[in-house]
Amino acid sequence: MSIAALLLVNLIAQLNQPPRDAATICVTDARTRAPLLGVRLTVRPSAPVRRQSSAAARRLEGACAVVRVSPTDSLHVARAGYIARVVVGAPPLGSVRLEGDTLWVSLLPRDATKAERAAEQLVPLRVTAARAVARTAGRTSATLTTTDARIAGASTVNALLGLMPYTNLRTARGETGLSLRGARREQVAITLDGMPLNDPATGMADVSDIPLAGLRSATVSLGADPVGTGAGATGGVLALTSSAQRVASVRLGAFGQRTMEGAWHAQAAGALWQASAAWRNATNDFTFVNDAGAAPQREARVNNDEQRATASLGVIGSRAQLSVLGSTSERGMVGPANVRSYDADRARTDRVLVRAQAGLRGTMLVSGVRRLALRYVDPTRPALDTRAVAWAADAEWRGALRDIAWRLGVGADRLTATGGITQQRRRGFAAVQRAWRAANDDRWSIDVGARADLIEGSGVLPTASLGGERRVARLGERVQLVGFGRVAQAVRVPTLYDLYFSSPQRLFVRALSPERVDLDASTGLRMVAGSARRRASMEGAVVARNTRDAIVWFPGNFGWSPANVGVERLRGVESRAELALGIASASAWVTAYDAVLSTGGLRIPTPYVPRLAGGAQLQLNTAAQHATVAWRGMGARPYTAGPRNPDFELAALSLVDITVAQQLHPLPHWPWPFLDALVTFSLENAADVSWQSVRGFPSPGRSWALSFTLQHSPR
Amino acid sequence: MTPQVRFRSTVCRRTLAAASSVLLMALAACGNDGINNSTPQPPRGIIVLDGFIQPGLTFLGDTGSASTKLTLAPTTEFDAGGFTLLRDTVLTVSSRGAGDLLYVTDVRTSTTRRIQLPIRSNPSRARLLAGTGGQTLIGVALRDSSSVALVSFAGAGAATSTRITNVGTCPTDLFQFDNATWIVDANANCKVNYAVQGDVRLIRVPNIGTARDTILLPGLRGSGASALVDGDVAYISAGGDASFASFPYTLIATGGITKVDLRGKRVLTAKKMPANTYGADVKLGLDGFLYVSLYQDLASFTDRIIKVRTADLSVVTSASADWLVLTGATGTAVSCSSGQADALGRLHCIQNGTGSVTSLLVFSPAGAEVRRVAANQGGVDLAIRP
Repeated sequence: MSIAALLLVNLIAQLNQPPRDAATICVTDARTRAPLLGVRLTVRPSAPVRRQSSAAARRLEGACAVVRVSPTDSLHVARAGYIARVVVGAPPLGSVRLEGDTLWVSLLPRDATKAERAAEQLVPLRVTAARAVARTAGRTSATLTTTDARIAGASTVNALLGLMPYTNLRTARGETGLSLRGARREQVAITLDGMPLNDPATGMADVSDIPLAGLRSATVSLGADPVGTGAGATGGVLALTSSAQRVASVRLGAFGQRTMEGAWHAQAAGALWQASAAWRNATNDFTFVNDAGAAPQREARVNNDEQRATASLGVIGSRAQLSVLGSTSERGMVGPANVRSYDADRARTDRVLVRAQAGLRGTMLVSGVRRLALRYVDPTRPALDTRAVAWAADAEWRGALRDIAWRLGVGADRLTATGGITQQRRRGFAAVQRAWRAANDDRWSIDVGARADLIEGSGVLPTASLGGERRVARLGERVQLVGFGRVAQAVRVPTLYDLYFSSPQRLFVRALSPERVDLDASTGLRMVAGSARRRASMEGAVVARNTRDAIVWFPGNFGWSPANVGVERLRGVESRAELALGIASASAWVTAYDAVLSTGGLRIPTPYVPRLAGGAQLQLNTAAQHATVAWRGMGARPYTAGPRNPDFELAALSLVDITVAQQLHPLPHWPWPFLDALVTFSLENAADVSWQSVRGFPSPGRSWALSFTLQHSPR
Repeated sequence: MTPQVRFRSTVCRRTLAAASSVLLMALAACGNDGINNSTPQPPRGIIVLDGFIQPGLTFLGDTGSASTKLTLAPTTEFDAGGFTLLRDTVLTVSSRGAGDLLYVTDVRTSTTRRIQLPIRSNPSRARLLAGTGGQTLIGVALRDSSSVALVSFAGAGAATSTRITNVGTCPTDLFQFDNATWIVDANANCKVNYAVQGDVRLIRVPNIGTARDTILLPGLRGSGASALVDGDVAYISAGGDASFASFPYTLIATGGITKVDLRGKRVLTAKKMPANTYGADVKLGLDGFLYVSLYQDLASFTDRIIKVRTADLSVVTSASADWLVLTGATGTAVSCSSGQADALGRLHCIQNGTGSVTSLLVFSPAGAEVRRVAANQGGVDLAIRP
């Protein structure tokens, strides 16, 4: 093992010898601000006298690259699916301090409108020394890079999400779902480089299946996104971006946690090839106090183990891109605390996703296939074993007609399952969007869009969105106040999860209507102040969401199936603040929601939505040492689809995680200058709080984790 | 666990009620036995079991819309589909899928105690038996261990348990009669998938001695068989046999009722439920008729109630259907479940609407809705307190 690690270290170190006298170029998507991989950079001399500063064409392997460039050069930036761009001479290149700053170049997708193309030419290139803050017009969002997450102790996507504001993770039986803005987990769309990961059969994506090593960042965006993401994104969107990293990581932790993951990339055959893989194993046999029996007693979780393996492969060329993601997981289907009937039950899930995209005469074609296979095994009752296989295929064509971006798509889903259950449906959609923004600066921006989904059995489902933000005040050079607002509609078609996957038992099929978000509105203020090293930001928004025909699960004998209920109303406040001063940074967020279902004369608080939730982080960062204290709390959460009743609420909780991290690279005798090594030790749930994220499924108490990450970092 | 219930009556009202009860009991004791020989009286109240969402018991009066709720299982799983009521004691159980627990509720004091039954024993029904020495004795049929647990306790003291073993393939109900414990064996593979293996059997286990009797109940099939005892006669019912392994579901045999002479240990008569129906949840109405709740078919699962004469198990048919035709206040057809009539012949039943909101419905003897009152949520069973 140690020899293999040494070989790996040497192999990484030998590649990409350090360029000297270089500048950092980062390329992002002009719309989403997401970093782009596989961009072809070519530096060409504009003046013969600086010829020696030019460099050969190279492909951007990470989000950013270090290239040799001078103020008189021209930089050609091209990538599949995007409009090529040329950056010529000073001031952009001349303003880049070669040893410190970063030149940010944004590329427009091929379906950019005429107005977007014109506006992009007017937008000055940004030269910054700090990370950019990603935003979309009028939408509350937050981004966390995997590098920052690792420093804060995260070594899984679950842990990364736990560090992000506005998130509420719900875990049971090794499966993790994400709730945003009080939505159920199937109401949150999860994408990887724009590729939807939610399975149409289940409506959900298990973020546990995604290796952290292959990711660059995660962005949570609150609220409906009918045009950008499409049907299903009624509560919010988690957008993951992949990264071509060279990284290897090992993690050991309490309750048998063992994680190994790595990522690699290389250029060959004129394309950038990237691959990542992860393997994880845990027994999760923690002790807990079981108060569900006749008398409380301390016992250990059994049949709570999980094993996961994930691999991804990406090929990015100048004209086309291919992505493949496969995962397999097996886990014990431990029952609720006092139920031992499931002590032998197992579940295995296999997922494969393939996606390709290519440019076509100024437009872009995107297609994808997803397959989900789920097997439930009960060794003591083999007659109850079940198996289900779901397929989804999608094709999408994107382009622009003058100033209006358009998207057309078709798709089909098919599911077969034990018990003779077969379902299939075809679907299609058309969407248009137009955006405006102030010329010359970013004083205001507006976007409006509309989408119509045509789904077999559900008819035509139109939705629309309108968002905008405007700078309302500017105090000096470093402080600005921005007002923003967004209204949107959304739709979620009943998934086959609603009919089948809720339970290992076989359910009868009940016809459900699509769930409609008639109005998802938010408005607020955002204040940003400071420079790169001293900055402060604060934002607050009031939100409202009205959902008609909400699909809610009502268990019970032969009626054990979800049902459309009357109206679900959510009203609330979302706020966040960040402060960075030198080596210290602090951030905090809080949400207050009142989410109520009205049906049959009852007012039912939406299950698992706390009235008050929040989190805070305090970080101390030196050049080599990092310390993070993360706190997360939430108020009482109802767990039944019944009227508010304190007897049926999970207690309020307060959790604290503490992480210390040491980077080995700055140490005096570190032998590999182009490798960053990070050692982190985390104490999770440091106060040893007994809690449940899903009623009946206890979560671990105090636990520890030690991780070692080695990352290639060219300088 | 601390039961949460609010009483609306004052101390004076309680005293008056208690005095009235004592007086009524004294009057009843002085008269002839059996309620059928008295002037029919309205019920003392109605109890509805909220089996899911927020499990508990909802108590309603014979009039008005007020109700009180006694929470049963706030911290644990609960999946009981029914309960038994005897001498102000409500018994209900959670199966192996919900922790193998017995819930004993004293309706008079609104207190509940939770008793752990053997793990994975998959209890079916619990019955209050005749205890001795001040002990409360409860019998519980344990489907997956072919046995019956006899649980006893005094007051709030610790519960102890003994077992009657080897009582069939899947014991689902029991009762005591004539110095013996009688066990209903559903004869189904309850440990796995509840597949019916054969006809239901009635097994008699004497309190003294080892000689057991097994009474076969020809044609009676169903994994949820139960018993109802009236004097020296038992009505054994079973819901039928159906395959739920694939969709659409297929009906193999309809449910039925078999009338058994307990002293003679023989079958008196049997009645099959109407074609295509599934289920046979039988209650003895306070008007002397049997009320059978079932599903009209395995496609719509529409609730229906059939009224049956105890003498020959003949159905009191309506002009247009095999079941009672019930009409709502607006004249439209209404369906409901867990039907039982009071002494006045008024049918009481429950209906779950949107959001599993439960209503208690009361119909006149002619089938017209005369009362509809909210009864919380997730109702699965009902009993009338005479």
